[in-house]
Amino acid sequence: MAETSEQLSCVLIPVRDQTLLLPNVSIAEIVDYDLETDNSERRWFLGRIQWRGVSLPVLSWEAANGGEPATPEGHRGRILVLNTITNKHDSMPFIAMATQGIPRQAKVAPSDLKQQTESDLGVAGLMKVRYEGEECLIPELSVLESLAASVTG
Amino acid sequence: MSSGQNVIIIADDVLQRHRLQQALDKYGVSIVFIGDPGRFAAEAPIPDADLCLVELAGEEEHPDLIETLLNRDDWTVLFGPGAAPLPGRQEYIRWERRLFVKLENQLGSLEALEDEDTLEALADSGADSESLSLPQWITPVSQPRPVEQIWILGASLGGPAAVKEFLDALPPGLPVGFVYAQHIDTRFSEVLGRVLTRDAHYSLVPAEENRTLYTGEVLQVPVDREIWLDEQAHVHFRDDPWQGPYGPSIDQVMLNLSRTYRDHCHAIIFSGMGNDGALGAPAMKQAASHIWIQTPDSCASGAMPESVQATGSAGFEGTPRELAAQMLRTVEEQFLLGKQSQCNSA
Repeated sequence: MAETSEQLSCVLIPVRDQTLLLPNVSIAEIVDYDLETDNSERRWFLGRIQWRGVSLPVLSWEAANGGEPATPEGHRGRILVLNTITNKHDSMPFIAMATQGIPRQAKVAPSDLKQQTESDLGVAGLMKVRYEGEECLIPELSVLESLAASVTG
Repeated sequence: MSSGQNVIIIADDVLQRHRLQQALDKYGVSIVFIGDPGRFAAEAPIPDADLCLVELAGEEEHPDLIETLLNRDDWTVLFGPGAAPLPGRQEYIRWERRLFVKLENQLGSLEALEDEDTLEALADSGADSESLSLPQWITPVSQPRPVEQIWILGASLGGPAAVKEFLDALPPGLPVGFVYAQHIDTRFSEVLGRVLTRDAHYSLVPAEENRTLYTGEVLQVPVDREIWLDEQAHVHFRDDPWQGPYGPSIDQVMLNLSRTYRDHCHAIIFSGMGNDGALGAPAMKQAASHIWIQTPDSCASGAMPESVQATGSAGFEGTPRELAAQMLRTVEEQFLLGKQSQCNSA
């Protein structure tokens, strides 16, 4: 597939019953699912990882979006380290989120995406789109960042 | 050996970085740095490494990085095998193999194998528990006959202990033979031959030209020469060594036997590093063979069964004893469905 200037390198991220779509640049690193669990009442807060010498809160996408927290089966799960994009970036450059598998590559041009207007986004969804026949949700990263900020020391 | 080899991974794409890391994890290679060119440039101090693996989509965008890397004489710079294809497919296994070959050319053999002491210890450990009992619908073989049904046992690091446990759990009289492909240092083949079936109802036999494989036997596949079996269960050698990085090549054993025995041969992939078996498994599954794996968590190294699992070919996973129990169920089913009737009248 020839790359065009219109295309953006993205990743498709498997979470429970859903696929998230994010640009490559949002993701700083993919690391193995290995965290210090947290037993707090915040169900979206799975625990912490130590990454590049800093402690990052790991969010459950499913719980952050209003559902039940999901832990990955077997060895499939990974943790994504995400670059923050809101004004919290200076104090909190990264947050982390659990996935149900390894993300896939996708080269996305605007014309590849069809917005799905009549569907439930959840509290942390920005937009639902159809990409190559698959329904994907673009997450609202500011929601995740606000949650993470509340547990960042 | 992989121990003590430190590798730096620099790649501009986060997915590629992760694929490279995953592949290196299959051999337990120690990764001392992983990141993009920007982060590498900011890294201080730069960790000690033997090899620096670089995979850049746009090499020309990072002339300074390449120059810095090539000017160091304490590590080798290795350019990666290109972008990883989609996992789970043959191309992905081949991509991993290309990477392994490149790494081995620089670092020497990556695969850790059993040492002599571990094998000798196996002899002292004895059988862990009683063998399972023969299901009632299976008519036991009283007089050994040339095999019509073959089970391939593919294994690497951690394999001897697992395969021994599997064979020890099997009751006598099954109408099957085994072909045992174990990655091992040639010098220890003899020790393995002595200890593996010491406590089992099945006996390990060496590969010899024109030898017939009988029910109740476990054929030890040679490390240095390729073999195949004809329709009469006679063993034949090819003049050449095994193709590819592994000896014996489990993939090739699977392909060679599947060609003749089709759905009368099956395979179980046990503990080991790397991804041998992951090319043969989908081909055998297409021929309606059973492909099973040892549960990765129960393995000394789970990489090999995980690689087969990732191809979607594995129909069952279990501990060695669970695999033995599943095999009894499967053979019993063959009797119930009448697939063994010819054997009974023979």
